[in-house]
Amino acid sequence: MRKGVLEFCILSIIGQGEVYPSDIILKMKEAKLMVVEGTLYPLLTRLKNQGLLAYSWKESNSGPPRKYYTLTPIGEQFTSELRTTWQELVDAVNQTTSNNPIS
Amino acid sequence: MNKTVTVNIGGMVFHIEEQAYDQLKKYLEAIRGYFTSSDGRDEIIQDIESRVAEMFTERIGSSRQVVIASDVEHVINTMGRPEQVAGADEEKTEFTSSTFTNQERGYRRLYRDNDDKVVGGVCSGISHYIGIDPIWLRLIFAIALFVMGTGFLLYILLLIIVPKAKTTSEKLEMKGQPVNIDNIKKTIEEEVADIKSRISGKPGSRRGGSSRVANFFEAIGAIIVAAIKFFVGFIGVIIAIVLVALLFSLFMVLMGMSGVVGGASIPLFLTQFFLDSWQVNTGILALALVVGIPLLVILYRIIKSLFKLKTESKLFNYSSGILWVLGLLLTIWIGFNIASQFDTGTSDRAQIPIVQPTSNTLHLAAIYDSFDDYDDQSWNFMSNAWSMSSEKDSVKIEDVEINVVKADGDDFELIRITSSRGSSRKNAEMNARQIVYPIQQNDSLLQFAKNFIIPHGLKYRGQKIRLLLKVPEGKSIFLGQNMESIIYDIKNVTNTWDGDMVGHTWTMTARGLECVNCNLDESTSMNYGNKKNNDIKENVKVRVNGKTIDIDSEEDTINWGNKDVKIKIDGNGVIIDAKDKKQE
Repeated sequence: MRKGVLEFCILSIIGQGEVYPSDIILKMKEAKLMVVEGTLYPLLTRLKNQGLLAYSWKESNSGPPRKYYTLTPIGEQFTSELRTTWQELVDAVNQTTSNNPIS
Repeated sequence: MNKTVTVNIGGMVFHIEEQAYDQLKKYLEAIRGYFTSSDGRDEIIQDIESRVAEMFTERIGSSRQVVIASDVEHVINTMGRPEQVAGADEEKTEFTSSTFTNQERGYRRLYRDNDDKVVGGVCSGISHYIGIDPIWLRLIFAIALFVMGTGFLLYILLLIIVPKAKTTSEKLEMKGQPVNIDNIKKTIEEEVADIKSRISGKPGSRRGGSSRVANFFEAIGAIIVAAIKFFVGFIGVIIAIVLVALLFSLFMVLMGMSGVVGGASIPLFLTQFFLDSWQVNTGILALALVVGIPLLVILYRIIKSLFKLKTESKLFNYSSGILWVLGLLLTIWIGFNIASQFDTGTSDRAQIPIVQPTSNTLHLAAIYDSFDDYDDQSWNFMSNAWSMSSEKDSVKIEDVEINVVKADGDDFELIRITSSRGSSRKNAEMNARQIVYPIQQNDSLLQFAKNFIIPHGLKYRGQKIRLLLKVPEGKSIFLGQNMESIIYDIKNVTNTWDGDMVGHTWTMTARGLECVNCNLDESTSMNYGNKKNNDIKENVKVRVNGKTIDIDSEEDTINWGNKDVKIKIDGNGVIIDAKDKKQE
């Protein structure tokens, strides 16, 4: 459950534009979705191996070249699927947990 | 002042203190340990290293040149502990409560370690479980391999039973806290605390006032359940050990039977003289399946529950079931197959030409050592003595009987009846004819072998030899002392039993065989039993009232009219026996 959410978030962040891991971490940390950075790398590698992500090396001003991730077409499709599922879940949870009396 | 080393992290050069370097290296190694190459281990590590390099660059800035221990600690804190790094990549296991508690409590499960394997990762898996270096286990298995293949069997068994640690959580479980006394103690303490809290806590949560008592009994119940669980576990271990021993011995027996390990006597006899080798092998296989599979399944269940293995191997369940049924069918089939070899019985009747003796008496004798070299092995089977010659690859069987009847004509006749069983009449006849049984005659001396030979290539199919000697009226036979073991219930006038017939000459009369030189008749031999001192030493005749009393050294015989009356006087008193006089 939680795992799927994490993936969904990462895919969504990448879907917003080409990013490199530190950016993702920053966003995830802001949202308190990720406590430690280390967890991200295995996830990224796995998503990449599943063909959802692609990356390219880019030179950075400070330090070594960085990996910038983008969504592959399959990744985009998968992300939209996840979004639908997520929305359904949110609606379902909202509906069940709201205090509306059963009519 | 600290020594520094120069390292390349993510393509950048850093000077790092030796101590910090060790710490970082250990940390990266630990992370590496949680992934397999199929997880993209190298890439993950590479990414993490790049990030580490980035962080180091940030931390150092331009003020210093060397990476120190606190930098490494910062990196580790930011990146997370190795378990956390790996834990995020739960592939199959969801974040369910069971895995959570297991990890919290540090239960260790037995898995095969695919990352550190020589064959199937069994040894390294066990070494994780009991916390020793895998090299020792590998050494033990390697040695056991040469101890008649035990190691091989055990290894295959473990390979089947123990699941491979595939997901990270399984790997964590595999490498979790060691199962040792401390942890067991901890677990028990936890349970006791649990029970305590149940006794004292939450009064009234169940049944108001009486809850204290109820809780007390509940606690007792919990303790009993715990005790039973422990007991069951203990018994499980014992049963497992017994099963392993059983499987091992079964394995050894089968190996012995199929001749992989040195020859045992019974299998040799089975393969060589009883069954075809393919029948034996099929039988062994069938038996192994029928007996071995249930043992294996029970062992599997026990090991599974003992080590809390999660996986339910459908493959194992199905294949064991199928194999068992197969074994059963095979057993039935081979049983019928073997039985069919004994299906039909037949006997071959042959007249053996014998030379009529010049005298009127034929001397019969048995030869004990008619066949040499049959002394490699001997045993008793179906109350007959068997002896084997491994050189000739054949066996001699003592199943010869001879009977004496009256001949129709004026000549001695000898008939040999060879019986055997076989899959068909033809087969049985063949089995009967091929056995070797020579009869020697030397003028009036007729010599019979006590046993016959089943030659090389022929199987034992219940063969036996029956001889029928036909004696013409008026002619005699002398039964040699050693004939006792092969004569069988020869009918005679005096009804003397076989053992008493030997050593005497018997003449065929119109009524049957009659003893010539024995002076004990039926009743004496039956009543007095003393047959050895038959010769009359004294013969005293006393006339009493015109009747004659014959007295010899041992018994008295009174001829009374047409009655034979015998009187025996000994320590037991006087025995008087009367019967009709023999008719001449």
